[in-house]
Amino acid sequence: MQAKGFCLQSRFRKGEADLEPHLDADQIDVLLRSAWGLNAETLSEPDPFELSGLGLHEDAHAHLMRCESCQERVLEQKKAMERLALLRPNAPVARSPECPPEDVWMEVAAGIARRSSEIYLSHAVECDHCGQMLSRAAEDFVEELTPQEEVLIANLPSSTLNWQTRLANQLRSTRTATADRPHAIGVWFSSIAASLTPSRLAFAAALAGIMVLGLRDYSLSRHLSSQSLQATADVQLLEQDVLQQKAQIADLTAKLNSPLASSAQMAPRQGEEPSIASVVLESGLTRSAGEMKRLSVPAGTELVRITLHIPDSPGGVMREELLNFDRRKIWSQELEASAAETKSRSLSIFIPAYLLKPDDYLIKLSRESQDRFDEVATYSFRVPR
Amino acid sequence: MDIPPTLSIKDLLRRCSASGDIAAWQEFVRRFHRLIARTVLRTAARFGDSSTETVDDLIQETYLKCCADNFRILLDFEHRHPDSFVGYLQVLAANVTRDHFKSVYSKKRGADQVKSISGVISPSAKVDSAGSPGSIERGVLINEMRSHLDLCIVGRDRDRNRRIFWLYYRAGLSAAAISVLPGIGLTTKGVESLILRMTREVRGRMEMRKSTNDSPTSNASEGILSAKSF
Repeated sequence: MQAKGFCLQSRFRKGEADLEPHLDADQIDVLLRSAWGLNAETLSEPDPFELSGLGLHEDAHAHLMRCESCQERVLEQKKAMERLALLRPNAPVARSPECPPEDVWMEVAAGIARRSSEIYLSHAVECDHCGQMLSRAAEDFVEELTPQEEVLIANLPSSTLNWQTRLANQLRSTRTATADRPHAIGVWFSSIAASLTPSRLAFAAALAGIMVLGLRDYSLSRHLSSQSLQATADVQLLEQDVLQQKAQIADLTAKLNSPLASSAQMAPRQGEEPSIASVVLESGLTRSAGEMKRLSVPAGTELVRITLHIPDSPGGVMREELLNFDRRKIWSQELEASAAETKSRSLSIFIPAYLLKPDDYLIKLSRESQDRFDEVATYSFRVPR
Repeated sequence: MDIPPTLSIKDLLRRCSASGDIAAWQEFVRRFHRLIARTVLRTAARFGDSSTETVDDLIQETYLKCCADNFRILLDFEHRHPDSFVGYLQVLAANVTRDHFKSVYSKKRGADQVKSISGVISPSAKVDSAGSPGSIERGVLINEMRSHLDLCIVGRDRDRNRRIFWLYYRAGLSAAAISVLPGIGLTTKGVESLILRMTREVRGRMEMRKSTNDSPTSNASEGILSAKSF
């Protein structure tokens, strides 16, 4: 079991067994939580009332004032706490291109779980800008009100029963107004119909006929050109699908054959809508070869799954680096291939969709060997507009 | 007909959207007014205008947003857990407020607000900008903590616990705020207790490293990993 307490050593130091017990970890925590000793270099006289209010017994702080060993220990712990406080950035930090849109932090802070929440949180703990954004959103959603906020909210006209009853009526009537809309539309139509004469009708019909013919001609030519573009895209998509299905079949076959594959692993995760775009890439494709694979990322996609076919077996720790057209690294991760992936000589990686703006991308795959990474393969793809 | 205060949020939303029941709407306003008001108030304060009129207008706007598209939000809402609507409403209120101020400021910016800057400006580097001594020192400290954490935190929940530590100390989130984040799965008390234990472990490691460094007879093989108190 993991040690719960801080200090497992005896509360009596060597050669002091006959003396009173030293402060334990809980007592030191109480002291550190108090305002006792503002300067880390010196310890001021503690306020007994404050300490007893925090649960520190009188004997304990009497001991502390006598015991140099405990004083030294508390000072060390205090310095450590001051160092921990330095982990927090003390000025606003600029946003980087890897940062997700700022709106996501409100959703994360409000506890709205999405498939990509884990990725966002992992990013927030590494990125000071996003950490600050998340912290700010969390502050706005804190349940407790400050006394000042209590007063402000209590004094709002909207906090009165009158205002709220009026609003409730207004909200209810929103529904009624919606339900009455067909009737209102009917009245509008009848008033238009009343103003039409036979000559006006004939002129309107002729005008409408000309417009319809023009529109038909235009849409026909547009349809033909879009059909040709569509056909090219379809061919590409079909090729992509075939490769993708091959990989999925290999993956599923490997999972079924694996004795370790548990039913829990195979079961879909309840309540999570699939919002993953996928692509399968072969190594060695370059921009100049004109064979760049296209990956469309529809709006609302949270993750992109990229299956990389590997020339040799993907054993050991692999590092994947995603570079954009300017060769700037925008994502990297280290991962190990599963048994199924090793068998199918492929490796699936997941990348947050928000990183993939329309651009050309290059993936560098390397393998760890003796404290360094050797390049194994490169892949390229395009995210079209 | 009166609405019992124990009625679930799901049932309340259904009653509000399905019938023109005034009692259901009164209960809706009663339950969520404080939540909407505080979110609007705090967000508006960030934009520098938390006047009574503005806050009340935005509160009303938030309620009306709930009814938009023929109550689509109330009808289609997926209640993944009991508090999911509360979280959703907070985000909605904050977004309504932000959108309002963005639109106000963009109008202002467009109205001949640009002024030329006279004189020569030579901006000085910020104390904590990247590459400054302060930021380098902090980077070293972060790495040091990372290595302490790697030694202290083990087990199944290692990644989650490490994340909690950084969210608390680096991002500055409170234990209560951390407990509601997706994937944490702990109560506020649980987060507090975990942070306390991790802090003690890390403090202990820091203290031990210092005493090892201070000791002239210290042996490299007796580094942090051989600490007896863990």
